[in-house]
Amino acid sequence: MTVFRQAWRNLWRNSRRTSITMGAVVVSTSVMIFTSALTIGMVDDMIGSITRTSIGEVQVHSAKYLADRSLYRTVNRPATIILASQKAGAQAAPRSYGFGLVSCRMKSAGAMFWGVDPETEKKAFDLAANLAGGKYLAARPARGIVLGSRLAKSLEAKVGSEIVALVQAADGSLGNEMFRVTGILASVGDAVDRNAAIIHRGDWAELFAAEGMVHEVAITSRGKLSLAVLEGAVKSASRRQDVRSWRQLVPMASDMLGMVDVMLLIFSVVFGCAAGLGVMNTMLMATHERTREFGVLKALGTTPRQIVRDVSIEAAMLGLIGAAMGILIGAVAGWYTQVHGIDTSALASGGLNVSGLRMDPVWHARLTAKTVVVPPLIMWVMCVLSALYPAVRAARLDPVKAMAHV
Amino acid sequence: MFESLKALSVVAWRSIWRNRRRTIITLSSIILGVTLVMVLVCLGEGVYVKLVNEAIRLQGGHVTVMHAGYLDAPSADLFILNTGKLRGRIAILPGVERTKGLVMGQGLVKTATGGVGSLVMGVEPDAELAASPLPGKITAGKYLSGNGGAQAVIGSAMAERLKLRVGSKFVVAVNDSRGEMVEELCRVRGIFSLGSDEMDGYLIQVPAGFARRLYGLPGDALTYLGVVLRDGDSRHEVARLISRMPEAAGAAVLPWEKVLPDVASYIRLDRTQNYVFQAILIFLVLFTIFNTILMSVLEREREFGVLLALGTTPARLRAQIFLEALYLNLAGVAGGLLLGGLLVWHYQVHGFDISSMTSAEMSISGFSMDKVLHPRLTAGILGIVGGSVFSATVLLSLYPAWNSAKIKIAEVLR
Repeated sequence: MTVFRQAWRNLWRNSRRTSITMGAVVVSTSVMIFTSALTIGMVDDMIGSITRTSIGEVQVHSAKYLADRSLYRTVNRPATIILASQKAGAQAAPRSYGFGLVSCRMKSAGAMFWGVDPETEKKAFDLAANLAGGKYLAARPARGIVLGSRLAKSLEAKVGSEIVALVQAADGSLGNEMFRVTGILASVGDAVDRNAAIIHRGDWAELFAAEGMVHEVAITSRGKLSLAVLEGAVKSASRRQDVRSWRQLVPMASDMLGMVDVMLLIFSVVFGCAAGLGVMNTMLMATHERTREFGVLKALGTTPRQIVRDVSIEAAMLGLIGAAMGILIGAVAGWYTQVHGIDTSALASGGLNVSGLRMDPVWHARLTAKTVVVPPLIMWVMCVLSALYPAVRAARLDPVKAMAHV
Repeated sequence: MFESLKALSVVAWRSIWRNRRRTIITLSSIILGVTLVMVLVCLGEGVYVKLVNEAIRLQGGHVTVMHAGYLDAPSADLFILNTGKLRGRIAILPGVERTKGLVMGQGLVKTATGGVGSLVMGVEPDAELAASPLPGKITAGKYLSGNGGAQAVIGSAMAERLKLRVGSKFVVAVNDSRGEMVEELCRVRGIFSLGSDEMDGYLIQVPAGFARRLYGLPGDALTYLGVVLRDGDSRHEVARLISRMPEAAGAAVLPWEKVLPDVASYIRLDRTQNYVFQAILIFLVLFTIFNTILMSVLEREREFGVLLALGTTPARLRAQIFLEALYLNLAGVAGGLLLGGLLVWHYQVHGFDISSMTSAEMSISGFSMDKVLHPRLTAGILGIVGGSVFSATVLLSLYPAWNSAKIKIAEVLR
């Protein structure tokens, strides 16, 4: 115990030196914690932007639906899939899709009619709340329609406008119905902006003369479940139907994330080097300047082994306190950013729209056990090792020479 | 005064090298710090140079002239006419490599196997051969030649889906500019593979003359008049010059960011990310440099005590310490720029292979990304990184220099 008490006293004998060295450990540790939390959070945010709007983490379609989007390739037993997803802790939205023509007074355009269950969409996905004007669909079928932003613009439709829908129904007849615009979506990405005409599933069934058709079940746990777990749960309930994760559904966004991932990995290595360098250099210099002191100790009969031991204990203590404070500061900064985020919209004007998906310009950090534990550990080891080298050197020196050292 | 400054700088220079180990540690902090900043900045600059270049050259060039309403609602009946004279004037603008004309529309490619929607791009084969990356990505057959003829090059994914080979025929069906359905028989002349499913399964190229016939457009109509530049950085200037030409009146003259918003958006995302990380890294590096300089001054208290006791004025001591720091910073920043520059230059030439770090095929908006990163070193980066780190460290040296003379002589000499 006396060894530790002595080391503790020694640390504060030259408090300025100790504070400078400790400052290096604190700053390096906290910056590393903060940046790793930020990188993890950024990737999470991007996945969230991609999946939470309307795509979901996993989708189920009938085997060949995605190849030709035929009206007749419907999902088998959607209710079982929805139940299984809910049991696994996720939410599932059944959707029907069909092509058709929408017109508003003299203007007309092609559109994709989404038949949705408004209550489920509101609960599970952000699209329903992402309106530029008006309201989302009512809970019961009421001939309301929500249009994508560009579609509304090209139809010159406003909230309250009358829309005529013309489609080829499932039985081959012409489906022709009148709708009223209840809301217009904010821009969320090209595909939805240009094409989406969202109506209640009940109205969809009447328009296409087809009861109970489900072409897609979109499932989201809003990031709570890992992709593998969710995919597994859905697969076992969907019996040889086409189950795809968002990575397969929007490969481009997934590719972009892959690139971002690699860049962030490289960034982490660069940061690790910079932080390690800071601790190493400061500690090297701090121990080196004590050469004279070690000479005196040696002249007084302290063995080289004792000197090295004492220096290591001092460095370990210093590193420990520094790392602990680094954890505190890094975690607080990370936590603050996790809650409030960094708004980058000033840096990236014009919005971030990749692969028809809008990215959130506010970045959040995400603290995980690894981001809090690994950086201080690296910094601590670095701190002790960098003290050891000059200490060993000094302990071996001839005391006379060491004392003459300036 | 000059004499004493000269003497002082000699003293400062000698004093730096009196304790070589300390100097080396301080220098290495600055050198390695600057090197790391260089690596990060150049890596960020270089990643998308190739991506942008390919996308631009395949599509509408660095600057695109088009019908003012086209981008809002792309449609084959929004085209520009009488482009001959305009092209002549654009071609002689400084920095212009060449112009290319495109006629574009939506269409359906049909065979006995099925049909897929596609982007029909009518091109001038000669211009494409010189400017676009696509002719170099032909994997079977040949690229287009001549300006007419019912021939096409299609992507490998589409060829596979529709079971098409070089020489086979297919039907391309489009709504022409009057809204009527038109079908034409067309022969596959070549198959390309750009490395992204989105392009390889969606894009077909035909001669511009054939595309005009298909969409019922007049003889010199173009959807895009693309301007390929030797140096993309001059695009805004060139766009400004073109929009002032009377021949371009009424048309939209846009830089590529507006024409390829996805690519621009990705780059914006990447840039923003880089800015944030660069800022944090520079903070870390400056802190380390500050720390080492502070420590190196601190450990010399005894020496300063002796100097002050012998009659050196505090001002002179401070000036000496500041000069020492100035030398160190100058040498460190120069060394860092050199080391970082060499490192970056090495990877700029040989590339930094990241394929071991990721398994995914990577493409943005249909343009595949190279898995070998080429960082990009420019004089601007050298200047900005060197200048900012140097001035920041000089400012930071003021504090330890000021502090050096604020010691209690009796205490430090004990």
